[in-house]
Amino acid sequence: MVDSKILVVNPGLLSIVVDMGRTHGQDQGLSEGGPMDIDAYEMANWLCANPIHTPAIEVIGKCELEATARISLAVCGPETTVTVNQCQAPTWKTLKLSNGHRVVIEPHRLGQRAYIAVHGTWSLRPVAGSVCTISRENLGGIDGKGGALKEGDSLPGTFSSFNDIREVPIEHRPDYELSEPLALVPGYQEKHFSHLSLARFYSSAYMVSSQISRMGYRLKGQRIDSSCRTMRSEGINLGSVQVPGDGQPIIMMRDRQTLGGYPKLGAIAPYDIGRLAQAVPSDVVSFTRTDANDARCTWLLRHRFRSSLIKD
Amino acid sequence: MRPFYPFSAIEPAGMDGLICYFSGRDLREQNDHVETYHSHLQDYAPPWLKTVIPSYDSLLLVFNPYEIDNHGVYRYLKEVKAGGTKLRTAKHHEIPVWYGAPSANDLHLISAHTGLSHEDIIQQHTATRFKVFAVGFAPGFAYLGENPPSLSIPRLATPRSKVPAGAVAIADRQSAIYPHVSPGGWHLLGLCPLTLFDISETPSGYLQMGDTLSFYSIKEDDYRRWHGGF
Repeated sequence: MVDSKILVVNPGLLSIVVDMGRTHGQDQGLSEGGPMDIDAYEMANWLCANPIHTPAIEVIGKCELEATARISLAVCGPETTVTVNQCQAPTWKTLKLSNGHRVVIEPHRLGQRAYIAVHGTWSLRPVAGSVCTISRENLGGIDGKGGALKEGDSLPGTFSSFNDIREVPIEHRPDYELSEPLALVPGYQEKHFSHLSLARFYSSAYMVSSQISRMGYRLKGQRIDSSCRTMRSEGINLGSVQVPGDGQPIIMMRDRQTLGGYPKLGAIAPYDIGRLAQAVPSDVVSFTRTDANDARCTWLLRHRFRSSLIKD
Repeated sequence: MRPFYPFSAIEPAGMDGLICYFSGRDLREQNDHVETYHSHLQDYAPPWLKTVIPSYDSLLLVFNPYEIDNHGVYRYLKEVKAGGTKLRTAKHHEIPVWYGAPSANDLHLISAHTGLSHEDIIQQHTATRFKVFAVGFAPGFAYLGENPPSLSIPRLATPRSKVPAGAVAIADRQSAIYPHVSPGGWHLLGLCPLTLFDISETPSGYLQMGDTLSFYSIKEDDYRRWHGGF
């Protein structure tokens, strides 16, 4: 039996093990997976002195864990209340827990995701190169079959504490504010949408519907139409904005299917995916058309801090 | 981005992706080009390549934006000599189907739409030699083409929430076998007893892009024996 030092007291609404997902199985139809909010995931691992793509837990709802030995743990995400034995504790900062300590993690807005990393190594068997949980495909996760964490589970691995406290400086924490539009890189079938439809799309606000999941976020708002009648299925990149027959955009997220046959306007720039992923139903988003080169420049600038983390 | 032979179009697919569409006299020729480039990219994967997703007439390349931008990928496509790539030896599969199996039987709907009798539908389906044009949507789900025009039928108006594993289905001029229980909007012909996806195998999918296959009809008894007799 593995030497676990962390028990799941309450998994909240949904707690799953994630890592960077399966980039290499997509030509076999395996969904990519990966953390919905990659910045929070990577920084949680950095705070735990782990390689930044170590598995971590993605939590929705109020989750409670218990340490059965000394461990270092960190929680990252949008506004989240963390308590250790009922005492308020910080997010974006390494926490030290001792035997018997209980940590409760509760994002303020229901549906938002927090990431919990622990110092140490997991002993999960990768499936197609990843331990990421994809429930729809019965792959990965704590049981290797796409299962979520359950009450009474112990996290499989060797976890411990390390002699340092790290903190992500405020200026390097992700900005989750949705008033700024999401950057959309035009491409795919954009030329099959009329100028009127595009003008309407980029000047409107869209509401995040209740049909959101790790697969995709369905939005509600101004209807847009393309002249594509029949289309052959093709590869879908992360953040692709597809428009089915009802004219309501769907943004394809981490657990999207690999191929699809709906016309697409382009794809949301990767640096804005986390911001969208932390939106909850009835939040409002808008879009700004952003050339691929401009988007890449922004991405490189924003990742200077991350690059320094990787070198650690 | 301006296309060049054998591409009919090259478009951005997000900040870190390019999607290339191939030209050709017909779908088979376009799909052969996809296969050639996909094989080349598998054998000589450039270090910046994160993911490649082939489909009917397109290839999605996702790159690491630290290492390259889409102009660099465009130049790579211009310079790469994919034509000489030795393709993986395609397999031919003979696939057994229990046509009209009660849990996967839309023969009456197909008959009403096409005017063909149940026997004619089965005869036409088993007489067709299919090619795997793409694998995707779900693990191991192979898009097979092409059904004879007389068997062409649109998707169901309301997709089913549950199609059984092994269901053989048609939509437009495509056929497919559902590897796992899943939702689905295609019309169902019957059940195939084979395991089509096994994550512990390499490759995990039984049907790979470029493979050819034909279906043959089996009886309920054969299906049950094959399937482990329950």
